[in-house]
Amino acid sequence: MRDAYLLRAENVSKRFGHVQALNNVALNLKPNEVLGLVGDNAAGKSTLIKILSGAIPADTGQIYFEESPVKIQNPLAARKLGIETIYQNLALVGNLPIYMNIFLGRPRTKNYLRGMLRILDQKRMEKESWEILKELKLNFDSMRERVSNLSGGQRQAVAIGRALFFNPKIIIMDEPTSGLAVKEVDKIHNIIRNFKNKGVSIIFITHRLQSVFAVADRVMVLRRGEKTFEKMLSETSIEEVVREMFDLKKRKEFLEKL
Amino acid sequence: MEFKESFWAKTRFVPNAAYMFLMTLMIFAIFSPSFLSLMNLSNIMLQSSMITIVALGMTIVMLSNGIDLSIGSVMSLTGVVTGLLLASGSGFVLSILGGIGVGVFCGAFNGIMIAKVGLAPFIATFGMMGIADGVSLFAAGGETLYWEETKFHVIANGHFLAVPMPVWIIIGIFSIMYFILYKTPFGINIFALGGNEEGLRLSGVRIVRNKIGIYILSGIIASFAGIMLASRIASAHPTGGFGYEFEAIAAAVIGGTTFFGGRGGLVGSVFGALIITLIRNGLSLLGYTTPWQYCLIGIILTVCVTINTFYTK
Repeated sequence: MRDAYLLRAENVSKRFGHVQALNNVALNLKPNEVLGLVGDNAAGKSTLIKILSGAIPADTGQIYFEESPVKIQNPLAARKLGIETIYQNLALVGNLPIYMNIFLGRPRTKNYLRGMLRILDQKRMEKESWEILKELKLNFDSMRERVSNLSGGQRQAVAIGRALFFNPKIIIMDEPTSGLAVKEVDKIHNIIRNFKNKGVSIIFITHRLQSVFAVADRVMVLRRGEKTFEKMLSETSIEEVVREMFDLKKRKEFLEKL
Repeated sequence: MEFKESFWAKTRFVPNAAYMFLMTLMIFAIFSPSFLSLMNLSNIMLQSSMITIVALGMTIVMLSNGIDLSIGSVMSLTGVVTGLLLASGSGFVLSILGGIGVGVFCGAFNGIMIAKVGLAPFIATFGMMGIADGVSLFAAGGETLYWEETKFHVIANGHFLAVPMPVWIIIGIFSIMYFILYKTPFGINIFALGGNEEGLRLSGVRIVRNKIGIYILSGIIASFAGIMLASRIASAHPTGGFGYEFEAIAAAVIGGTTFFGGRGGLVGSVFGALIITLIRNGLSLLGYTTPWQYCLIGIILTVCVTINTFYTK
């Protein structure tokens, strides 16, 4: 009997004009598992996770969440299932304060007139934002600070806080360590490990293979829109993954023939 | 954790436009002492009521990184429709509801063109401007409309507790807009659309719905202004609202709202409208004709935009 998968995507394809971004790709994710998704530029990694997060629709494919078929037609549907995504550009609104960004799309409100009138509950959002960011051990002066006034690392903390707040089952991270200093990269690794300890599953895209080997359980390689490789970390090596990413096996054989 | 601001820190929320308004007032007072008379000041408040109303609506649209060039024409069309209803004896209430209906309909049309069809706000509302003008002229037969109903004139000419009705109407509209913008999720979406529309979409918010709502709101406010205008001149002119969209934009920009969305506020726009009216009123009093007024307003506009740009850097 095989373990039940938390998320299963089968036969996912997506075309943009002439470009076949994804071709019949399958992705599986077990509960409480960290999956590293790697590949060269334009391999289709971002496209795949955007489909899983509801940001773009797939042309074909079926997605199963906890073994039931689901349709993830928009970002709200994904969030309702418990899939939170941290995009590479963070998708924060700079002119709004931190607490409003944490609750973007799902503000805390006081409801009157049987739900017809919803008024923002700013005090509650401020308090809850403070608590979640304190847990991430990052220092802020005030939850009312405009996000555009924050540093890169702080903004990422806000994006992570937003993803974490609604107790997701799956967190998807697109290049979480890009542009970060070494110390901050370690912080991200610890954050991912923390998520895993809390029982969350994680899919993260990265170009930094060391990150994959530092925190992931499994690695999946996409090359030119197709899945070409998938293995448990313990059964593979960085060299093998790099070879698969850039299709170096053929080149190696080619060079050997010379 | 409680972040208590000192009184002086809170003053950063006073828009620049408020200071400019006071300055302009002082300058004119120097040239003509009768400027500060109670009668003149309340006259200014009354005169500014039209521009203030449309400026409030325009502010909200601009905050969301949009623009509504059709409000002047919607004002005219509202006046014509309300006038036709009044003239046909439909009564005070029904005629006003009909007028507001015009605003809702035009706003919804704008919203659908922009949010669902994907036209740029400038283009979509520019088109509506022409359509509404055309329908206005057609429906009014190219003539000014009059009616016998007199209760309607209270809106712009009446008083309540010694304060002119238009001032009460502005207070009412301002309060509702303030509430919507700063106390409701819809208001947050308005700011967010101006700040990072894609970010908002990725958070799960239904962008189409919100955008349509914004333009319907703008349409409704334009129709309020149209009703007020018809009430003030006790007639409906098919192009009565001509040029108000630019007054609205000018007032909003002077008040600190930018074209890129996300920055600005309602209070600033009220002062922007007051400044424009002040300049017109003041220059008139001093004997300077309309070309001078346009010129000065243009200069003030440029100066304000420059100041606000530096301020936000």
